[in-house]
Amino acid sequence: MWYYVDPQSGVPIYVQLKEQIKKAVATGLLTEGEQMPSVRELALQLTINPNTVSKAYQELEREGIIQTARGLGSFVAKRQKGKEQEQKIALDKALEKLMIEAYQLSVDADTLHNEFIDKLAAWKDRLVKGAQNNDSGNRT
Amino acid sequence: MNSTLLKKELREALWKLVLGTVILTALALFIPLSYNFIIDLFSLLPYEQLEKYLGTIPTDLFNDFSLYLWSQWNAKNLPQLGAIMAILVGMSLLAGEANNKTMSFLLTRPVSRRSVFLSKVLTGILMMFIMVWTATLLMIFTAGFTPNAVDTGKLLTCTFITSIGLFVILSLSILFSTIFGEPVKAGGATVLILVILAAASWFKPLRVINPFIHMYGAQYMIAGTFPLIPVLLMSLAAVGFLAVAMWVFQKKEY
Amino acid sequence: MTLAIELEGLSKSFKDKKAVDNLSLQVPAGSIYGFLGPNGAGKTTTIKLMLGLMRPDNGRGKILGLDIEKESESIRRRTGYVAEMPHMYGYMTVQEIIKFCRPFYPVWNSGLVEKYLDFFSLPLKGKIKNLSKGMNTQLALILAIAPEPELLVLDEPTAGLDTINRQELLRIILEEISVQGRTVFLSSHLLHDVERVADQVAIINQGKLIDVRSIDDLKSSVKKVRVVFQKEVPDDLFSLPGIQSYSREGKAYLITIEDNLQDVLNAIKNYPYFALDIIDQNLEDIFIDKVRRSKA
Repeated sequence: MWYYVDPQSGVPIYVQLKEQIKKAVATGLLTEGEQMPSVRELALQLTINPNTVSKAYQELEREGIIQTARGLGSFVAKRQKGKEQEQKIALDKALEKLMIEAYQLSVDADTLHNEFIDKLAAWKDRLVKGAQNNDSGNRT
Repeated sequence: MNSTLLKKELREALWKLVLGTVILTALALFIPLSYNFIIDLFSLLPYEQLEKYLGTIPTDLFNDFSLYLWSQWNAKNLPQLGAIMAILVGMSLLAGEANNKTMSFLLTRPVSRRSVFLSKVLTGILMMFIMVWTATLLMIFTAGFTPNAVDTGKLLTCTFITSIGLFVILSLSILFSTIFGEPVKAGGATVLILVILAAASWFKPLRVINPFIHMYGAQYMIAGTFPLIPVLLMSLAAVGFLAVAMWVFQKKEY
Repeated sequence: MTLAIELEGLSKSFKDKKAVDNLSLQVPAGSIYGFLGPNGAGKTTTIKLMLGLMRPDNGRGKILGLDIEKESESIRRRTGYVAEMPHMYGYMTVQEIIKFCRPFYPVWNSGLVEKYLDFFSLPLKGKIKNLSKGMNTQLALILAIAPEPELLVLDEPTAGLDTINRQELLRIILEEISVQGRTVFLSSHLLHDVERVADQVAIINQGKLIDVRSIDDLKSSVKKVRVVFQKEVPDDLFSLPGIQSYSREGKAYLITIEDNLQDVLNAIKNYPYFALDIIDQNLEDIFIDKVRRSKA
């Protein structure tokens, strides 16, 4: 089982689950069109409330990460280019949160900038490697 | 009422039923079988001395076999031992389950408290009925094999009167079993009340409140008049105790 | 939204002790509801009032739309219950108690009974008095879910179970009750039991309701802020609404904030500080904190 939740953490379980699914999509563990486990399955596997799984799925759907077809289940959505507006809002929010955190941690702007550049480079690198792996069909 | 509940109650009470029936029957059978022996024993004594000790007892006691059976059974063994049985049966019917806490398990099933109560009371009555009548009928049956004449009708009627008296004691014991959470307390309270009633009846005007006096059926056996009013009053008292017990049980918290 | 449980101003006293004190609860149908409180908080009494084992001194209650005082038998027909210490007939065997319980209910899922008898390896011919505490609870659970109840009430169900059995119990509750859209009411003094599965929790202490929230809400609304100021700050900063408690060591403060995080943060940021952290609160801490404050 790839997903793991820590009920005792201060982070709500549905948020933990959401983050992990997003990460799975971002790293290519979940590919476009792949079927997600049903709410019931995932709830039983993780021993968590089905409503918690539903809540995570609903938010992911709103964010365009997954799509739900009535009666068929949920699938990993195509990364849509058309949803630029929503993308921008979500990205703005995430960036702002990052900056607030940095400010609260008293990280000055230059340090933040340099850190960001480094992380971004590393991330690009991983994406390229991930794509190569996918092409050579290593994924099951 | 509910057959599942009744079956369970009977099962829980089975050992008491068997034991009670065996003991009562053994005592009952001893009476007709020992009659000749007792007569012989008394005939060995000089008649004057016998009269000195037993002057108040009608002398036909030893000549009338039916009267003898009655005096030993309905006026002695059955009320005494029957009362003990009635107390032992009644005291644990409700308090038993309260004490070992199965009552809350039972009452969280979809059953009405009425059905629970009635199944328990019915079990108690049924047990007493089986014990008393098995012993009595076997006694009369055995008496039929002796050369002596037996007035079966009279003995059966007297046993009916005694049964009503035992019903009062059973109901009282069930009432205390409902009030108290422990069988021992319920039994103790019933004994206490009976002792008080018996002690009170030493004063002539209070004789009427002692159930033991009525349940012998002496009037009927000797004078032949059926004690209709005492039997009705005893029945009424028993039903009254049960009604109060049911009311208490409906309100009781577990 | 339909409610599975609806209690209104329920009170119950024993002699002079108030076991349940003006308690009101709304449990939505289909949810898993955690009923939390320390031992002796009034949880068991509340459940006994709900199931008609006791009568309230004051207040009303409805379970599955039925009155707790007038329609108790119908409630019990549609409600499964596992007591903290289930006292079943010790002289009966496992098989016999199943046979005993079955005729009381309109529905009885024998397949389910067999599945879990097997799963827990309960001895069919074993006498109940010889079962371990854990097995006793497992058997009571089987008897409670067999009639496919619309509501399952569990009073401290994990008391006699080890960690593995606890997790299994939660999984069975999810699989057989929750996933079917039915309601679970789960009482416990251990937050750990409910935090994994509950939608909502009610916290009760000394018979009184302290708080009702979703677990997510509880986690996100209660935060601790650790801040080190550069200079002395006035005391009235800490009387802002939302600040539940604070402790200080020199210029370093640890502040517990509930519901008003943003305003408090803005106020704090008016004073120059060296460091400021927002700490996500562990549920256990929130729970203990709430219970402790309710006593004061």
